[in-house]
Amino acid sequence: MKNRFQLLSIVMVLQLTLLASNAIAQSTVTVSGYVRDLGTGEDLIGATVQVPGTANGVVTNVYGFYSLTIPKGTTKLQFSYVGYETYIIDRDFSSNQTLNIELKVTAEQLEEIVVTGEAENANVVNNEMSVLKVDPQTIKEIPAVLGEADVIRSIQLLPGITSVADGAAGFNVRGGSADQNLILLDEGIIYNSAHLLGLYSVVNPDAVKDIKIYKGGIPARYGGRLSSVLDIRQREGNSKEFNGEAGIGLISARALIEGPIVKDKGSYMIAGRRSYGDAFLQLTGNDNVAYFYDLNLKANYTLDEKNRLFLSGYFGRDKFELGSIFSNSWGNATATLRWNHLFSDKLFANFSAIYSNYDYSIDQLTTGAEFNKKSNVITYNVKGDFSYFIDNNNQIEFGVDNKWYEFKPGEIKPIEGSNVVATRLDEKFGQELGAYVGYERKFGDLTLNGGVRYSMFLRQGRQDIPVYDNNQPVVYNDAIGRYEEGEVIDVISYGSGDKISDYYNFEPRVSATYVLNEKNSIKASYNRLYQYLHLISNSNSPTPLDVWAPSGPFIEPQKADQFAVGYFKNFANNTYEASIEGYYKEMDNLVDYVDGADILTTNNIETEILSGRGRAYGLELYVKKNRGKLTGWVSYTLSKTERQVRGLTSNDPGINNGTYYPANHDKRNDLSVTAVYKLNERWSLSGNFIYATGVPTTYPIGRYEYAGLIIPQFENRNLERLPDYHRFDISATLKGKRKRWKNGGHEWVFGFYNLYNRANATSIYFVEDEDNKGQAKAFKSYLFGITPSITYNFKF
Amino acid sequence: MKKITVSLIFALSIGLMGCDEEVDLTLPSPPARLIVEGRVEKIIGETDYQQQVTLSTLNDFFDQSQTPRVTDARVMVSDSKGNTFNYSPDPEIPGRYFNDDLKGEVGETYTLTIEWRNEIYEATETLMAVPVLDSVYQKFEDENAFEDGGLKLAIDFTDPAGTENYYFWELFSEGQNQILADPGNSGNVIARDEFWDGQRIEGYFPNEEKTFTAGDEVTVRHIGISEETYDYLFLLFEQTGQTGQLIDVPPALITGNIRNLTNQENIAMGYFGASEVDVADLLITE
Repeated sequence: MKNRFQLLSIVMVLQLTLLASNAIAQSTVTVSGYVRDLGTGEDLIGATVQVPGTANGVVTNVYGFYSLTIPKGTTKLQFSYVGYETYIIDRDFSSNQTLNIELKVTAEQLEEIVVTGEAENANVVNNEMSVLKVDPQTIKEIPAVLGEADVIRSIQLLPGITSVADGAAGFNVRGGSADQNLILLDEGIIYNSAHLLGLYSVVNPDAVKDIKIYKGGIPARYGGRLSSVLDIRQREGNSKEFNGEAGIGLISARALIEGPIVKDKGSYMIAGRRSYGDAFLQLTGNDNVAYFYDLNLKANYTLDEKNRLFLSGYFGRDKFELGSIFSNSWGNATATLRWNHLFSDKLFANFSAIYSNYDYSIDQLTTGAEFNKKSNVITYNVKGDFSYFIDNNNQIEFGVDNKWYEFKPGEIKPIEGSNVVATRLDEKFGQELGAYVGYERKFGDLTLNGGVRYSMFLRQGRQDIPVYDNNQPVVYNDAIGRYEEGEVIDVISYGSGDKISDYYNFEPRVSATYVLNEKNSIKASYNRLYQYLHLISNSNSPTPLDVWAPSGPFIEPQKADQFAVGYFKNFANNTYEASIEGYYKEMDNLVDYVDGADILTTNNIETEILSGRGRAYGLELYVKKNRGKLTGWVSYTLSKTERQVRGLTSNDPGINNGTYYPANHDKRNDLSVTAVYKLNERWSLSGNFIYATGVPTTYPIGRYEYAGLIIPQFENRNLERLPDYHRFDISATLKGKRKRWKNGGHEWVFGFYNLYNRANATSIYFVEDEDNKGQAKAFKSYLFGITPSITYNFKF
Repeated sequence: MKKITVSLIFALSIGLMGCDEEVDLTLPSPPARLIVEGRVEKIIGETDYQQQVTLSTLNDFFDQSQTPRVTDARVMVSDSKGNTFNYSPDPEIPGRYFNDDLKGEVGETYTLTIEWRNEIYEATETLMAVPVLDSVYQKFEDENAFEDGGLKLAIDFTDPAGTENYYFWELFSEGQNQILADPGNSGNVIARDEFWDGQRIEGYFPNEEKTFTAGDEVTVRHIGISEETYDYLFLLFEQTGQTGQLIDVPPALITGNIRNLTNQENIAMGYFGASEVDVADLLITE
């Protein structure tokens, strides 16, 4: 953001490399290289490189790399990226060459800027649908609970993405469950995206530069989750000069430093965040502890023209301690080592080795029964991804990806000399292999992409697997109308690495874009995905204690098929972009707990679950204004999401007698309006308005007395709905007048969440009044009334 | 365990922001469902006691009067030896049926049969043993995040090694069951020995919620239950201990072991148990 009011200045790093091969009498040449930010050296993901006035163009990949084939002798190339000044290079391209370009951030101006505009219709012309990008800066500008900018909360303002309620962990994409989102932070898998049980998410918005969510049309290079991919890329760090930024809010304090390792060759970024809510607890004389922290690290180094290394890490943790009663902590850790290698100016490769560990631990300190329970999910992942830019009309992506999983669902150990008996739940092992190829071809205005992912899941020993009578881990006791554990008639012991069960699947992925003209296009996609890991949860919203279970002899992989079609239109010189998409999705082998399942301490999770199906369909409308004093978007989703859990046989009812019923996160209407208005150089205002149909819930049909208590009688699931949800939030940002430090910027952000103080129900529940035995009541619980916030951010 | 842990974290993280308010709703009227509450008991060290079964039906959820009692049913219990014990309606307490002759035996299987409105209901349970109470005493507990502090009833007993044991405790004072609808019940008033098989348990509070004052006369019933009964009560206590938080287990139909032989669709609620019980009285002092 420095030199904001200076005139356009482009620095170009131009390196000519004569390629030894095939320079003979060719009529085309290949230009390849990286597109970066001029001020920081950050790679720009998705920047457009094209011959001006033609459809001949490509976009940079996630490492900022492009490879473009142009007719020999072409004299102009244009580089553009939203928010940056377009640059046109004028030269005679007579041979293959490497061309690295650095673009300058658009000067912040109050008047609308006229930009060449050609490249800003990427949403129309790119063969990508059901994909949304969020700018980390926007996330920081829009109002948030207690001013804590949050990635996962922010994406819920987009069409097709919802959550069960305020404060719920995770998110739901196009009717999918919260465990069906593949959350990748620099390719490392994040198993639990929640801090403070879902109030906030694990991604520190300071540390990220690119957030992209795929709701459909998921490319073949991704696999393993049914409903979405949230691909988050961390900042590389400034390769030009040292920079820092920090912020203090009501919830947390955060800081980030970045700088070159070797100028223009390597850089680092370190960001940290810690909440200090527990400090307030301690001030009030309370010895309880509740906090979270996270640490983001990244370093990269360019070895030479063709080789570049990246190291990224994420460490996050939540910790709770309640005096002498118990303590609990959980967190994700990921480490990613990547190597970018250019085999040629047309073949780009990335090799990654990734480690991911999610763990939680509980210390129960009640006198006499002190114990510690620990649980881990560890993933080791190696992969290689290749992009082959044959020419501008033909591009192939292919790769392989292998993951080794270790599930350690729990070990219970006595602590402090208690006589609790040490117990260990079975460890589980699995291996997931994915191999894919995707081919994209342009036929003039039509772009087709056909791909397939072949996925294989191997469940391996060492483990003892029970054999159930009639191969039924769950049986229905029709005498009393209840699901019970099946009878174990034998146990098979598998040794380390022995195959227990295996699954092989093809996952076709197809997408097409037909460009009507540069402002209008029609797109369609179909994808099939398989998911081999299942989060078994029996509460309304996932908790850190829920168990991840791999597919195996009793749990089949989840499967989804999704069709989507869309119409994309830009108008007013790309100031507005709009889209309307319709989708239909079918899911199979979804796991659902049987009523009253004990999922925390059971060794054989298969005895507590039934499998079901799901279907979801909807229409998503999205209009976004990209430029001007007023920016923001309107998103509206009309959708229906249902589940069906049939009985094991025709004799047993399943759930709701085997009929389709509304899923926990089904919302018929969901509207979000988000706007940012730049009042003047110092002040900007922003607001959110959200309206959504209430989520399904279950009401009692009566009550009875048993064991001295009043028992509400519930029969069918999810037949009622909570009241509709709506709220309005505002915030104002005041930028400091003068530069305080080298890089100047400092700002105050003031906000009110839920300005008109609507008590939006997170649930309605039915209980006997503890103080008044015999009286049964219904209560609505809600989280946030009007909540003010203040945050101070500065750069140094 | 999960529930307590997560509730607590929840309370710590957002307790200050979360709110509850009572709401008034229109709820559907209940269908006719028979509710059965009964247990064949073997009371340790006693010979003169009554067996009982209580029958009632569903009420509207917001109808705060006692739920309707069933007084026109025929109730009997038979054992595996072919003995049948008829239960008589209690003239004093509507809905209560009793028998003076039946004395429970550990390991014996009992079948309850009820005839009501031309339908026959049946339930079967095997009587589970319980280790004796070694001692029952009062103990002061400081206030903590879960419970009020005060004088509570505590017990010592020794879990038998090598068997799975399930426990249920009831406290009575002035003829009233002292249980309260509390989220902690599922981890307190019932227990299993999964993590403490064969251990001596000391200073256990069979009802952590209930504090007493000097002069209170308290009866503790220490009850051995089957795994199925434990599972049933666990669900029941989860449901009656809803907190309104997102981590609540969604409410669901809870069926016990009562089956309708005549019309399977017309389900009955409640549970018929069979337990060895150790009963002890305690007078709370200063």
